[in-house]
Amino acid sequence: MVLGFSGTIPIALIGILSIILLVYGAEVVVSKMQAVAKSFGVSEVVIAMTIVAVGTSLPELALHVIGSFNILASSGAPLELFTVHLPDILLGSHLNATQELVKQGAINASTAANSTEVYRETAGAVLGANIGSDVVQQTLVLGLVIFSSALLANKHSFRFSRKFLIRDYAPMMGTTLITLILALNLEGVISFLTGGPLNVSGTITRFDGMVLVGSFFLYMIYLYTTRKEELAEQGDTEPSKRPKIDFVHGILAMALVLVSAEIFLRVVEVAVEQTGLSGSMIGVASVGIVSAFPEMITAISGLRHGSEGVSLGTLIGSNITNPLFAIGTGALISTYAVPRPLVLWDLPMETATAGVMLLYMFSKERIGNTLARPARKAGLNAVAEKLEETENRVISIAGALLLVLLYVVYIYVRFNYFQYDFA
Amino acid sequence: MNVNRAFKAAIALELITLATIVSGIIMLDSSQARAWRLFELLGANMASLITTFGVYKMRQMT
Repeated sequence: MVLGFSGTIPIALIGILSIILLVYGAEVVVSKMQAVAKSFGVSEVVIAMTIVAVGTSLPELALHVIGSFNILASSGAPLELFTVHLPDILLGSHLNATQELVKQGAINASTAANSTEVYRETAGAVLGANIGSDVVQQTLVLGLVIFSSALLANKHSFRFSRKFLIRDYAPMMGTTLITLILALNLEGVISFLTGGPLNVSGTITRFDGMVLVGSFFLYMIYLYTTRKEELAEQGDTEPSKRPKIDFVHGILAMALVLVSAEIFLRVVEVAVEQTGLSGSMIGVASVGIVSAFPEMITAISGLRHGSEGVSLGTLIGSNITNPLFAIGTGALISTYAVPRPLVLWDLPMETATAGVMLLYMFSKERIGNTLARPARKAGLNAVAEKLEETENRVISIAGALLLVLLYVVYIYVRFNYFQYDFA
Repeated sequence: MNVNRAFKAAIALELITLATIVSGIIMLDSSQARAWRLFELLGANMASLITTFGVYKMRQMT
């Protein structure tokens, strides 16, 4: 039952409404807080590095924080979970801690079993929503943005700046890669490689959470020390004329975001029970898709104003904040059990897409020249000339559409072959 | 110490930690490695090494 309703349709409607309010509320929080900070004379750089950087991932962050507190609360003894041995707190999972509490007699076995269920469902939903939203942004949204940009400029291709690829795109790929490494059960990977069963999904521990949050701060420091002028461009809102009222609006919107996150997670719990769908599937298909839209609208409107770098920077920036800060913070609170589809499909697919794209962008000229030689020898001069004309860091409209197609493939495979979170 | 040196020192330290963890996994039997949570430490160490090395390289390239 959610908010007194138990029917499938009312619960589905509540779920949709909670996602819309989650995403819309986050937009309001960012715009109001930006304006308030500006009116108090806070510099654009600081605004960009705090409110804008974290704000673009606010729906995911709210889900992680609320979800993690729900996991702790489900044990019936949230504070006692932190009284087990320190290595277990840092490197163990929520399951280890609840089992330890059962041994100590602090909670009973049925509470621990219920907590395990909440832990798995919630971790699946929040991680699915987070990574799902990243995949949507890296394939569908990026493809559509490049496509619209080329159309708006009346061109057939889009040129990425070297700066953008190194400072934004490469870290995004690195972020996905480190999330994948942390999500893997490395013992299971070694065992699988030596002929054992496929048991490769692990736990994101509190120590992993520290690494993720630490990486986020290191990246922020890197941005602060190397790209001040671009950070300044990101926060170009007008200062608030009524800072106190806007601040109250911002706080109310923040409360709305948190309440929506809580309602959404309750809907997931009921949906998992009623439909048998996995938590991560619900996360990917709902929040994952909806939360990518504000970034798409921001990116396309940025392109209309001719600020391509800032526009794509905001889009890709949220793909860095989502795993590092949101997953990191959630893992610090409760630890996460990683669903199988995340390590077998979502994260590898995301890392491979970004890696191939990056490699292709930087070696396009070489590939073109290498292919031109045999084409010329075969007498295909027109083809050879076309190949020789290829430039690094340029993606054509066809390339952009390929990214959109990749998204369709991602969703198709995800829904057909990766339906269950935990075997 | 300048920033580049600090990065190099951090990378060296992380590489030494990685080598220690890997040797531990090779030398100890699996239950001992599990008890010492070496597999969890291995993942975290690899991730932090990628971050440190990545940021160091990005600083050099930009």
